[in-house]
Amino acid sequence: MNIIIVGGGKQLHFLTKSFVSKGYNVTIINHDAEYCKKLARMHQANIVHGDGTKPYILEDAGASYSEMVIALTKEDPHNLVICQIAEKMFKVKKTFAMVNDPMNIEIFKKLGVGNVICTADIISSFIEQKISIDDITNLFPIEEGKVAAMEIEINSDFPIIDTKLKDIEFPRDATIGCIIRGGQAVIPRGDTIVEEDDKLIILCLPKVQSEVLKTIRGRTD
Amino acid sequence: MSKKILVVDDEKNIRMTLTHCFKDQAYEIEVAVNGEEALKKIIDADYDLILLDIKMPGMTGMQVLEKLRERGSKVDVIMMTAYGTIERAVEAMKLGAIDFISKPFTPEEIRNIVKDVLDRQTLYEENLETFKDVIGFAKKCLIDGAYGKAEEYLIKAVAMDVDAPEPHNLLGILSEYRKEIQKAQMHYRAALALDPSYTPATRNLERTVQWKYTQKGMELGDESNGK
Amino acid sequence: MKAMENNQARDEYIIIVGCGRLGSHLARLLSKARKSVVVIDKNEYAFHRLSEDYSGFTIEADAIEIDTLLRAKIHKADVVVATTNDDNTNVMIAQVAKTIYHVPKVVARLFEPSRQLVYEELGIETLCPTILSAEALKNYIMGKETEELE
Repeated sequence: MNIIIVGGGKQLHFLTKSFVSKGYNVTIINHDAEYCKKLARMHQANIVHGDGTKPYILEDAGASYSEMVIALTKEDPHNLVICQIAEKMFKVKKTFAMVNDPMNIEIFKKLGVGNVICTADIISSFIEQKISIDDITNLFPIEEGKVAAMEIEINSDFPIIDTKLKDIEFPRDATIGCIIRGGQAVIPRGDTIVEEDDKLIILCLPKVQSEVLKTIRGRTD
Repeated sequence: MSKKILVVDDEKNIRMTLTHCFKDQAYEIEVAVNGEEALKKIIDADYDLILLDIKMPGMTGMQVLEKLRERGSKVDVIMMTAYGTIERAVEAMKLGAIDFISKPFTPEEIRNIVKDVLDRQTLYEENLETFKDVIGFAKKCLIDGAYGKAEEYLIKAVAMDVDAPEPHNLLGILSEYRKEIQKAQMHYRAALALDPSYTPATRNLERTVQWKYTQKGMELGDESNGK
Repeated sequence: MKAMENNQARDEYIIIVGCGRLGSHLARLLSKARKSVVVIDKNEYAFHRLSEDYSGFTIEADAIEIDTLLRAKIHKADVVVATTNDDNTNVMIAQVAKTIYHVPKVVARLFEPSRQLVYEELGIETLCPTILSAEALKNYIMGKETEELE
């Protein structure tokens, strides 16, 4: 797969490393000549020196035969333009834009960018969803917070311990997707019994999240 | 006989904009560059309406308004605010200003609000016809402190247009005046249930759930809300 | 109220983003023509370029943030002109104005000619001083009467 990444910084570095290790063909576009030289030394990737918001630079980088373009510059407008040119002029199928301002997520989508990532938004969702520090880990937000995904470790004082799943009164809009037991993933069924140290992976609607926790732990905190 | 309007603003561009705005309408426009000049002009002449900037160096808009009311003047005042500074709204309301417009404003916005306020001056209980008339009169009552009557007409307004959020928002404000906060919130929520995008109600609701409850910054929903 | 307005396309409330040389000059021309103008710039010093008789509004804020555009009441604007120093910022603002807020007349200034095609495809009217200047210079050099520019 041919991927073009426009931008710089640590994110670019680790992303490139990761893609290259998976065998993808990566081309990086960056406007700083010195940095480009450094990148050429560090990575097994094609490096193009130039302004990725200019159509002919994207062309030089092989946008016409790339499956994916990722815009990681520091400025939201640049990322918008990169994705739009990639999509409209070079018919690139998948475009990703990073944005700083969460309010731009909606806007970019409305303007036709396929995928929009906002670090600030992810982090703040994470923190907002966090209810208790010890036993619960909140997983990544799905669909802009429309689904809550939690991982809860079962303690010995939880009321649901040693109970069959079908006998536990979970709220309607929640489901236990998976149980991690002894490092193995178990897909639970109605007669699966909850044991101490089990890690329950639960998907639910945000509105019942507290109720789910109460049922499992006996308290909401 | 054309209406006489006094524009009070320390910024030249605002005075110019407003003078031009109303050029082709039958209003007589006069200007004052600061609070003192405004008060002097008001003593010398009778105005039908005053457009008053809140933020001015020296005597502020609020102080001008206060002095006006102290002297017994009941002239209608439209307060012009900078973005995000509606905090003084309640104080202003108590001094008899019920209408606000935030800068920047479009020519259409300012013309509409001026027309509405001037039209409202001819509203009496006997000649109320449209939904707009009823809301206008209710606002008038709110300002005069006639809460019973205000409530009566707001309820009528609800009946006239069941989908409109404005009467509910104003009922919320009325409840706040009566220190019934829970009831106020109920009304604001009702307004939002009808129209989730009605920002005055959202802001009022947020304000009432604040930790330190304050009546400052009541949103009356006076500007043409982009509908 | 509507009966009093002209039948021409509405151009009463104009937002100009970027108070550089072009933006400030345009603001002055429009303000002289009695239009209601709002100029937005990140930097307050830019407003010093506005003339003494400028009768419009100014907002010191970053127009990339939607809040700034809403504060300028973009949803009520008749015209939005994007004239910041950065092409990409200009086309983003132009798209937000046109596609999201349905502002009737939207223009973006572009310095880089190669981008013009893409933006025309997106339905954004652009003005490229680079192309216009080159054409005017060409006509001057080649001694022709100034021709109709494309």
